[in-house]
Amino acid sequence: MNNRKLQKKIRQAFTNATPDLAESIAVESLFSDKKDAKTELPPSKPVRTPIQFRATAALVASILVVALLIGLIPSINPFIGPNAPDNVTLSTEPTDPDVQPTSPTDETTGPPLKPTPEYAITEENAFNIALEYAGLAKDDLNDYLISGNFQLVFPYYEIVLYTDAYKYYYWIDANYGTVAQLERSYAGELIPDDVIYSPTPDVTAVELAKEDQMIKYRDPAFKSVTATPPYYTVRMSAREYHCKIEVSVAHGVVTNLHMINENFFIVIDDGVNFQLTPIMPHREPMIDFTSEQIKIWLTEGMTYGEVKLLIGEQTSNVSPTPIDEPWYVWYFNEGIYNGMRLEIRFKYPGYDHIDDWYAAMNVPTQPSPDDPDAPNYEDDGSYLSTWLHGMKAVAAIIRNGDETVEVLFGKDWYVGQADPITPPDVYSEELTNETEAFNIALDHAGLNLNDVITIRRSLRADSTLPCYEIVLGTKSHEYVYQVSVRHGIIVSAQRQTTELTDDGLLEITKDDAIRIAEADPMYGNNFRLISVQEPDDKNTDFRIVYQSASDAKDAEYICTVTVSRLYGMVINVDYQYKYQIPLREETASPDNISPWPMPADGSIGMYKAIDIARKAVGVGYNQIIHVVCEERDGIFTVTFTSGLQSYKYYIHVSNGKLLSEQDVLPVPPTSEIGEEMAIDVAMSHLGISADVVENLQCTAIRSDDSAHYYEISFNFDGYNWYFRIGMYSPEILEYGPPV
Amino acid sequence: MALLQRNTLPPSGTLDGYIDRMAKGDTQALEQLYRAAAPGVYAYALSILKNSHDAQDVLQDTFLTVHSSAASYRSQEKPMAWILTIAKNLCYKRLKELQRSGTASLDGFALVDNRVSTDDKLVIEACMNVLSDEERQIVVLHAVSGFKHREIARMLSLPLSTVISKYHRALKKMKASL
Repeated sequence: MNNRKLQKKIRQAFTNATPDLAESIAVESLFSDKKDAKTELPPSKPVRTPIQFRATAALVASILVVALLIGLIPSINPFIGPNAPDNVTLSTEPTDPDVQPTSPTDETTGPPLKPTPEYAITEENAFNIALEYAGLAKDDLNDYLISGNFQLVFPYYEIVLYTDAYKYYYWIDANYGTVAQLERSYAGELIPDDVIYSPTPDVTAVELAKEDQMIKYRDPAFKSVTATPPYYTVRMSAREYHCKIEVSVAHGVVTNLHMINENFFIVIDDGVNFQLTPIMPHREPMIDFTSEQIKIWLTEGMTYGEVKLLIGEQTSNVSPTPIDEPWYVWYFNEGIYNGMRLEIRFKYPGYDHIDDWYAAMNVPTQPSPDDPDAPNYEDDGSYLSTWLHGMKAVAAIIRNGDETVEVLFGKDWYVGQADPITPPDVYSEELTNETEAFNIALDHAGLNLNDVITIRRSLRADSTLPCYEIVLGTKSHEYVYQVSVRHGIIVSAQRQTTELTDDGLLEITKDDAIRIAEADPMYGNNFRLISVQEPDDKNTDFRIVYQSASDAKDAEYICTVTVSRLYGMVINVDYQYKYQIPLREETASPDNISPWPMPADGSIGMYKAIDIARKAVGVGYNQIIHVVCEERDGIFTVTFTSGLQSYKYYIHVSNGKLLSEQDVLPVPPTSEIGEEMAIDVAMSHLGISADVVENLQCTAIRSDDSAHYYEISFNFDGYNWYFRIGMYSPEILEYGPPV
Repeated sequence: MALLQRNTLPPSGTLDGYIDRMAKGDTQALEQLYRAAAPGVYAYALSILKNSHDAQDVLQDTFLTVHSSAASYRSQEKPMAWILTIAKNLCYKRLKELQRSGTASLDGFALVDNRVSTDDKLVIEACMNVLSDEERQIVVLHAVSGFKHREIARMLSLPLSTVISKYHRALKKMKASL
């Protein structure tokens, strides 16, 4: 079978195998059109938030949570607090006339519950969970409200229950039914006649808090109590919940209770410590925290190391404004926002959009001349500590005024300690340059430079982590490595045998194959055998799968070794990083990297080359869909796609100058160089003459897409060599031992 | 002076035309586009995902995305590349989902589809099991989607000589396997 026939056969096979989905796609497209139209109607029932609003929704939600926790607003719910309307009318009628009440039916109170087939938890489920948590029966309720907030990553139901004594406010995860947070406020009247005397009110407050029915069965652990007589605020942990319980000791009543699930939210503990815990760890894997960005705006006059965290009233009229690409930095209007802001940006694995979370605080470092009684925590020893678990954090400190940016990097960082701490300069440690990546690949392959005949290096980035691709060719193998720029982890490695020995037809056994695989230089001592796929009618080789234990860089791999049954040798080794490759970090934008990962060879480096190219077009780093920077003959070729456009730039390796195509590409010759010259080029390259080789053949190849070259093959020094020489220029396109 | 080079893929007026008509609400255009481009998309998805069910899902999602994005599509005479870019993104998204859920298969590919003849199955399975990822993509892009080697080199950011070499090497492997 010749190539054209095989090509036709392949095309035919795939065409025949392609399922006929035209009709269902047509129907589905009509359906989606209608669905899109529906979302424009007032959402009287839960609808998925359009993607462009989800980040905002998450942002708003997080603001509310954080604000609630630090006491900036008394409640998320608009129906309570000092600004609550006097007469709140609860809807008791279905807002959508087409939707009829479903179970549980209720003729008098609350809107009808509606099925929500998109999620595991229906409104009815969520409603029952809420009742169960509160220890209530439906008959105990005076009224209730249910609504859905179906964000991309965290869809939840908001449920409000009203009884004579309390109002309960829930967020219940629509996928898992977990109560993400619960707030219960006392609706009864505190009568002065009921005042109770307690000689140790703080102890009494804790006891009352511990005995609360929402807490008592959850192994409450006391953390702190704050006295603002007659009220006492008790902070406790209760299994996975952080609890803030406000107690009126004088009346012996828990007035407000707030429980927040530590797995869902930024938690502010005692008002001074921020702790960001991964959201919903039960949904493995956790958030990819390699791409978050934290910015802290310091009050004017503060310097790093002297930060005091203070909590005051949040200034109103704060409106973050996104600036131009590439960073979506959220600025506050100068002079309005006088405080500190913690902003975290991250991507969820598998999703392209960026979510923003922030915690914002006013930090009155000096007593206000207008209000001498305003909180001033300057000397109370409080400070901001931030722990970011299992992630790499980037923090930018921007001082008001000069907007100096300092970048911290590392697993754990913190500011505001009594003693200034110099942040570690870990960029240079953690961003790998191309020279280092090359050495990592060389080392992993067990090669030394003398073994390598061909080398190709490039830097690639798409939606996932930027990686160097290192291709090494030896006489018998081709190695392809992907090494992540961040941390220098090998993301994948393949070794393909390009030359088989002639002593084939061994018919080895499974045990032989395993022994051969484990004798291979790329086999690791920390490997564990997972499976062996034996040859069958279709495959002639053994495929042996191993899993590696964590290496020095905490990386684990699945390694597939293919051992030829007939040749008794390893013909392919394939390392794959066990976990998903993290999404590209926007924090790794060239704008934010300093110093650059510079190679040791004096070149400007591939990162810089990409930056030069993208700036020439005027696009932000995060607008680049796919980029490749390859070095060849002292020139970086940067090819990238932004939107629907592709761009190609040539950049001088040493000085970073942009070059034109005329500078780079040779003038296309008009005549063929001829077989004789092609052979001369090949021979000269090996430093031999054509007389000393055997079986010399030269064939002119004119492929269908104008790639024309001479293919030369011969035997020399015990090896079968081949060369591909350009037909119009004496350029070696490729050479090496043949397959 | 900076050189701004735009892709100059060969015109494919037919696909462009379908997309254009689709954007204008022509209900027949989606089906015509599907008939013309689906094998290339399916093969490409299969080459990445190595699972016919997932590839089928991606195939459907790709055309739904194309349909919903048709209005914003600006013809640059490379509609197939645009469609395959959509397919590629959906494939990677699917791969991440599979990795996350731990359902990514380490086993060899086997086409489970009764509609496909044994001959065709053998060819497809050889393509899936014998070739490396890169070789498979090159073969699919050239043999099924009809891209020129030069275009594939540009799409995969590989030197033209490498693409040609890998393509011929891949065919050689497939012949040996078949």
